[in-house]
Amino acid sequence: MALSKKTPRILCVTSGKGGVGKTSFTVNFAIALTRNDSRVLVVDGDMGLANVDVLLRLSVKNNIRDILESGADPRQALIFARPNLAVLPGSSGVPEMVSLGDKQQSKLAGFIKNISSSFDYVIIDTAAGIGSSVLWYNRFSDHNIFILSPDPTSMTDAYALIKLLSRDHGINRFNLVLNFVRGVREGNHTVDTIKRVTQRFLNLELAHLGSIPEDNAVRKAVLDQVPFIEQTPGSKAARAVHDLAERVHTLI
Amino acid sequence: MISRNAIHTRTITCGCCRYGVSAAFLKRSGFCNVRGKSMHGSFFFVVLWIVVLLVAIVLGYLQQNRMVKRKTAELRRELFERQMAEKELLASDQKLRQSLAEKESLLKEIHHRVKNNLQIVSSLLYLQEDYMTDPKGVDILRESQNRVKSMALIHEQLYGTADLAKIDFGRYIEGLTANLFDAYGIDPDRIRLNVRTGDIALGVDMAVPCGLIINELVSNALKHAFLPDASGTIDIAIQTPDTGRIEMVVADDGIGLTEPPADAEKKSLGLRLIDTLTAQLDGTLVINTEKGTRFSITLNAPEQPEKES
Ligand SMILES: Nc1ncnc2c1ncn2[C@@H]1O[C@H](COP(=O)(O)OP(=O)(O)OP(=O)(O)O)[C@@H](O)[C@H]1O
Ligand SMILES: [Mg+2]
Repeated sequence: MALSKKTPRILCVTSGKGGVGKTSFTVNFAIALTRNDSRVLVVDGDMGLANVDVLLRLSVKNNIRDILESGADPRQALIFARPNLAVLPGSSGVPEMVSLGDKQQSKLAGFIKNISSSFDYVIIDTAAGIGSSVLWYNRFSDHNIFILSPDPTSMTDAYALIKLLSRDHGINRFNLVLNFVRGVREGNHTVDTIKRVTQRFLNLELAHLGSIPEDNAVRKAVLDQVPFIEQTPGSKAARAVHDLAERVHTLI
Repeated sequence: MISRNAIHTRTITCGCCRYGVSAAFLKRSGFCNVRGKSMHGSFFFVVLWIVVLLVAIVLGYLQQNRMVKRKTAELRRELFERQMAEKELLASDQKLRQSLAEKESLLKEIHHRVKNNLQIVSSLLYLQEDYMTDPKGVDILRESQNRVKSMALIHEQLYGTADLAKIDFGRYIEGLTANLFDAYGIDPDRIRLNVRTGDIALGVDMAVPCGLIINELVSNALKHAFLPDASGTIDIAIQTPDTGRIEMVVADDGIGLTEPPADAEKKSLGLRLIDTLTAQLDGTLVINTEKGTRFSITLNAPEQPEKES
């Protein structure tokens, strides 16, 4: 336990398909963790279209790209958004940042390692797709969390990314978080289906961390730029995220 | 209108007498009033029923709709599973094919090299003839060359055909005998050759000894059966009388074997080879010298395993 206090656990939130709720999960999950007295750093790894700052209504002065280019102290870019919650904002609208060069990768790794020492969890919100930065963040992390919706296209994209990561990047442990779930039955069916496919063709066991129901409170909170876990703490989605945070130690 | 009212009044009167309502009153206020009470009651119930029915229908419809949607979503996910399975199977199938093609070309390459090496051996033997003064020694070297060439031919044929495991034995015999006629400088018009083989395919382990046996028998016939300038015929017949057996017959109408040699030491290497190979393959050798010479060899030719290993 003492060791894990010193080295923060790095979680990578990814999905393959866009718009399935990675950013929304990352922000709210991070806040839920801070409520359990953990110190959390959120890294906005969506280098092309960052929006963690939008969901938290933060004003960004320096982002990842700026510190990578200037070589300044990465701590300057950190925004303390809530008690125990810091955000390293990503860059938006810069196409060349979507793919990271080798040099930038090691530099970024150094930065994150450097600033993460005073946190318990580092949560990286990645971009959609299978760009090199997404692959790198997944390799860099200790735990990989896949956000998935019951939509077959989301499952297809998640499967494609899992396959890529397991075959070419040596990652063989994945955690599933189902989002947009309308009912237990749908959730179970989705999880069973994707588990069967990965088991059969990739020989991988996926761990199902939990599910977040489809909830209008989420949509509304996004519009208001307030995390739903703060705006509507009693909503189904908020309670689901709290449950997920309780199970963070079961991540594989 | 009036008459209809009257009829109504009459009928209703009967029904209302019990309540002591006079016909006159009925006529004045109109039957609707009194009748209205009971009509309202049943009307209410009818409406209630209709409403309940409608609500039930709507609820059922909604429920069904929900179920259809849920089922559709489930089917879509199952479709996803199938699609992924198909994709993966297709990919692994392609991989298998590719690896099979690679192995095949590798095998061809190996047969090619074996053939080339055997040809080199044969050429070396040919070159050594120049250092041989003894004509008998030259003959021995030639025979060895022919044996090596016969073996090389098997590998040549293997890499030249689609089936890398089996030899078309008829075609092989034709190539082999043509080589021998060439080696001994025999005019095919003087000594005629009849080859009769069925559709016999042999694996390499079987084709090599069988080829060597035919090589020896045909060589012997070419060397010894016919006097110089005499003409004649050599018959080769190969058949499979029953599964697992192969019968090879080489017959000539030449001068015939003087005496079938019994003494192993005195036998030529060719005859000893035939003996050894026949014994090795659990075969029997029958020599008939009534009219020319007829060698008949029956061998065990185990079914070539095709798939099982
Ligand atoms: N559980 C939910 N219920 C209802 N709406 C949701 C839920 N989760 C997410 N959404 C909606 O989905 C939209 C996309 O969410 P979000 O931006 O978090 O996705 P993303 O995966 O980060 O997208 P991108 O790939 O573009 O980064 C948001 O507008 C949000 O309101
Ligand atoms: Mg996002």
